[in-house]
Amino acid sequence: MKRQDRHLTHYLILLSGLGLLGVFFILFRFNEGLQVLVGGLGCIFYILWGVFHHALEERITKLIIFEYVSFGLLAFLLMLLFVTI
Amino acid sequence: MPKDLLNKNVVSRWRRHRKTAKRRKLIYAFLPHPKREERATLLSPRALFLYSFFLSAVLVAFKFLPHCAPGVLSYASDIYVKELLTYTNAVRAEEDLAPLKLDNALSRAAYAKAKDMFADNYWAHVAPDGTQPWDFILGAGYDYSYAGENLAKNFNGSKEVVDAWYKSESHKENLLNPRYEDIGFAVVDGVLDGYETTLVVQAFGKERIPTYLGSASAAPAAELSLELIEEKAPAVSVNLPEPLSTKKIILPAIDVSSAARLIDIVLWAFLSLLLLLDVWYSRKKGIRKVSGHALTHLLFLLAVFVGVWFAISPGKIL
Repeated sequence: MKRQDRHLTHYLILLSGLGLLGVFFILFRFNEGLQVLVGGLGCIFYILWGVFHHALEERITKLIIFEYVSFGLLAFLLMLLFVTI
Repeated sequence: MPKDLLNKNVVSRWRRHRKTAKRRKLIYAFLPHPKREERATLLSPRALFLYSFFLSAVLVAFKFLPHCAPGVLSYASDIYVKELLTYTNAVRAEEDLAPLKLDNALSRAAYAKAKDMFADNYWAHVAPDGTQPWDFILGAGYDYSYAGENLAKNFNGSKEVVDAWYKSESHKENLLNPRYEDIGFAVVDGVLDGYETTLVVQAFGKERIPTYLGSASAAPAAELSLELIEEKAPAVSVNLPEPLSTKKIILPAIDVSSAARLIDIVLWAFLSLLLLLDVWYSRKKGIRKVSGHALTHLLFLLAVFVGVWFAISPGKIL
């Protein structure tokens, strides 16, 4: 598979995942517990996407893993502050 | 230590131009460093860890502060009984249903329920001691053949409350139940779980008439859900205070919703701006960093923000 095609596939997977996250978030808008669960799963999905994407590109480093974990955690905490308070 | 600082000439040059050095340091707090090929200092791993720590501290403070200093944190609200009635009847009118009449006994029941939730510190249809919503309705002297209850808390305005009920299937069934004829409201301030808050109780009913008794007991079992219908019991006449029908406004020391949202929006905007600067400056200067994709981080943060913003309910309903 060409590099560009591979990139396109990776980003389609990411966009689909984020879209699905949005749909579930709206579906569970009156259930705080499920919203937190969906948000948490979405952040884990993003971290795994980042790690696998860079691993397949053969440019994975500890710093990159830390970066994706940090952004995933930050987004989760921001979501938690909105949903639970 | 960065390589260029090992060069004595570079060090001595920076020593002569301390102000310029400081200015550069400040610039690279926001922009990626072209020589070190790193992200801006404010997007460094240490900075990201600090943001997470700060958010965790805010969350812990909002959860525990109300228990240490009850009433300091609160949810601001501006809810009117008259508006609640208008919006409720408006959604019924859309379905060609008869408007509900404001009933004093049901309002007294709603008021007693709200006061009970504050007194026993709970947020549920059934009290911890097992008291059912129907007990409050009967206690207020409303002998019903059908009754129901909707609850809401932490909302800012009357329309938001009715909208939230309307968007939830089980609450919507109550709003649009053709059997109900009367309605009562209570909008009561108090401290719940340490938070100064406003509870909204909406009680529905249809008064029992002797000829109706037979059909009430023959109601299909599927309709006997907690939020919908309940069989009658002997009425008890008690004197409860008149329901609150005046405008309720809480002027909080700290409005929790606004404070949390402000912190969220500021941090979100700040991170998005830094990531945008990173993308723009890296492309402009041709900086090739060994890092994740800034544009992807930006997309992820925006997706989560937009999702949360549109999916979030402004308060809580039950």
